[in-house]
Amino acid sequence: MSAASVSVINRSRQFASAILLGASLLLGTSSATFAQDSENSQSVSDQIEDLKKQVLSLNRDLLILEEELLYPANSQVAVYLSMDVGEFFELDAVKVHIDDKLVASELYTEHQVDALFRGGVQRLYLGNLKTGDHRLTAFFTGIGPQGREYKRAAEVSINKETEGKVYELKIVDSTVKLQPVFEIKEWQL
Amino acid sequence: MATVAAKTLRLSLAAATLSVCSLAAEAAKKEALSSVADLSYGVTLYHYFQNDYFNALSELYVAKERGGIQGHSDNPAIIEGGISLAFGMHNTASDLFNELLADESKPTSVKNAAWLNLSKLAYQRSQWSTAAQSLANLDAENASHLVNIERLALQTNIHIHQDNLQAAEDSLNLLIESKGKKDPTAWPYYLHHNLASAYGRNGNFSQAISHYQSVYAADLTEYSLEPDLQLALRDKAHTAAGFSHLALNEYEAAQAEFNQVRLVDGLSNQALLGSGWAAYGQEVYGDAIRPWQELLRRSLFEPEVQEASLALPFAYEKMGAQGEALLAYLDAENTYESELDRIDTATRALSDIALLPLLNIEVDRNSNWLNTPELVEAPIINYLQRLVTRNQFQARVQELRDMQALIEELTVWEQKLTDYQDLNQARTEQRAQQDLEIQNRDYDTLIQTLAEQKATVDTEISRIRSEEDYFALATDPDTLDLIKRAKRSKALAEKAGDLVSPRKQAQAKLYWGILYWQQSQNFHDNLWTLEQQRDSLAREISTVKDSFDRVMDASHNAPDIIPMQQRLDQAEADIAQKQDNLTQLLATIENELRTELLAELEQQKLRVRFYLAETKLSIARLYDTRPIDGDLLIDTNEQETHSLPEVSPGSGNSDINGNSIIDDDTSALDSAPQEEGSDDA
Repeated sequence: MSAASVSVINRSRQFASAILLGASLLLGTSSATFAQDSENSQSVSDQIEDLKKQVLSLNRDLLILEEELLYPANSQVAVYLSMDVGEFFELDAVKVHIDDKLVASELYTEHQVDALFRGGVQRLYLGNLKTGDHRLTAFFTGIGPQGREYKRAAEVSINKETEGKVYELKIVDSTVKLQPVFEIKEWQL
Repeated sequence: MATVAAKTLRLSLAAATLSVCSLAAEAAKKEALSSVADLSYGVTLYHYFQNDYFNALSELYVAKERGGIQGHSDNPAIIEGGISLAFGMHNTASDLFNELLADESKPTSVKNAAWLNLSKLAYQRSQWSTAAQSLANLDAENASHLVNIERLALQTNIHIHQDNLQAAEDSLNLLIESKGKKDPTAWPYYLHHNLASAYGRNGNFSQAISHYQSVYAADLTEYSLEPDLQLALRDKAHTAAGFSHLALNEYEAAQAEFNQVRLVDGLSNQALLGSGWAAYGQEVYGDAIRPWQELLRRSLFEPEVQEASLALPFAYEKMGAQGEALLAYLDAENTYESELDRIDTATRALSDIALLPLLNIEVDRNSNWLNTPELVEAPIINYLQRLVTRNQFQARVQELRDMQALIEELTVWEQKLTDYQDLNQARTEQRAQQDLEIQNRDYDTLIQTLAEQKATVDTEISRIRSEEDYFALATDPDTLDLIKRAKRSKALAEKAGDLVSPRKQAQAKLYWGILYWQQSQNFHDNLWTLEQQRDSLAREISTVKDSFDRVMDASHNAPDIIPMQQRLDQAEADIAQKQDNLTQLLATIENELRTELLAELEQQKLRVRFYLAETKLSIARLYDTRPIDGDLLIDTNEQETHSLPEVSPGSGNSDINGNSIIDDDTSALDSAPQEEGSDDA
């Protein structure tokens, strides 16, 4: 490399360095500002956490109050949905009927299906039911094995007395049949 | 340091998220997914897996209030700690994990999870030695694979922050050995990048480059990271490697790195700028001009574009195109002055503008709010965009989102409670109506009358028993008729005396006697039946009275309505108070953000002023070096002859489309040029 070009490069680097030095000085100023802010925000973070906790406790009380007010234990019926593995069925929607009346329906997003797939359980319906005989029917829609559209139903009879009823709609993979199985399980309270 | 802190925060947040996920996944793995022993646990997981921490924690809190989650061992406690951590409730999480550790009976897996999370908490608070100590307490030999991977990742990061890079290398190598070939963990990518940045900060650019290369050396994999994330991380690594090469005066290698960066996101600004300097270093000024011209098509809000405005005419000078250089300097001068005006306008606007609507966080707490179309029109949004790439700002925005989400939750409850108050009021009115009906029907008197009648029956039965009144218990109409006739015949016979023949009298007595005998035979059975009926009646009257008393008690004291009313009233007051608190806190955070934004604007102003001053000096220098013969430096007719090759967007540097979700606030990207500048200074 010639002396002239070395000189050019050196001058160029000085120029670039000056620009970048300016930028770095500015960044230095900014870091001091943020360090100061960080201390102030510590107490704000504590306040936020404290408030979050308070609101969570309040939310808990409100949820309990709501349930006692709207769904007393003696008339309550709850329906949950779970999925075991779900390799053979890609869930799109669920509809729940009690005595041929639609009481709950859900179109599932990818996130919801993923949450179910990973072991989450969805509270699908919470309502009231009079004493006597009833019929709970669930319709499942989605994509089944070989990418075919799949629609199935499961049904259970309810003999409602004075205690609450809890049902779990279960989508289970049958490794024997290589297809999904839809069940309704009654939980003993 | 700001960059380092920002990076730390981002990585620690990622660590927390990954950790909680893996813990939950581990917890879920231990049992068949469908066989939750407690539905509340499943519901908690359902919310948690959708990052809905508020509802996940609420479900846990309700379950705890009702006696806790049964049948899932210590998982609920671990999950609660993990979710609290993810929800920014660090003190709560810390308390929960310490509680778990205080219990000697807890199994190793639980204690390991607690130590790991405590370490993360300390890490997030920049307490490196505490984080290291917590990690040292973890029983690595008996830890699960996932926990061990996270432990090594965290250990690497801690060593980096403690500037013990050799130890960080060792931990990273251990992690890579442990993870196995099929493990899709993304940790090595991040850790190589972190380590590279640390080496860059220390001026060890060769080592930095080696680690940056490791980030993109592996094949793009389907499972380890989202494709966009992988590509963004590669862009970042290529850019930082390029600047590291620049720092070592390895211009060709730098150019090669910059050429790998996609032109599609904000990070490409730095790559284009670096690419220009790499060409400049090789004295290929035409090649330097291309990326800088491309940069000048972009928003002047970007510091790289501002720098390119000044660098471009400098390159023209080097090419001997003094006229173009002067024109470009003059353009730059105008641009910088306009930018200064814009910054002043934005600064003034910031004093009056409400930031929260601008941040638009209430639209959707999960949305990418800065991409919301209306925000683009806002006068200060471009400066906000600069800020948003910083983690401290992101943390504040997350806090704002959390606060806003809490306010929204409470607003929903506020509306619901209004309905519930109406419902309770309707019940109260219905109860009053029932009360009136009870009064009208005079059930009290009716029951009293029944009791009196029953007392009369008691007296009568007592008399029948004591007098052994056999005929009193006859109920059959024929028998009653016979008794009546026999009584009458006997009475008539006795009254007639001798007027009736003895045979007839005897006959009347006989009939009477037969009937008497018959009734006496059934007397005790009938009496027993009667007394049973009386007792049953007594019980029924008592039941009715009890029911009536309960109804009256419910009516007067309303055990289901009055306490509910009190709870509703209390809840309304609590909601109002919490909303006030949240609003105040929101205002505090908003003011802090405003201060940060003003500081950002001030930095922008300083930077632009600096560039403006350089530009003015360069213009003066060019005028000073004007040819002695008086020729004009700028001859508009000659401009065409000096035209430089145009570049089309995407040429040379772009290969794949995609959007980066990684910010440009990396120490690696900043450190290389800064080091270079510092050395020369």
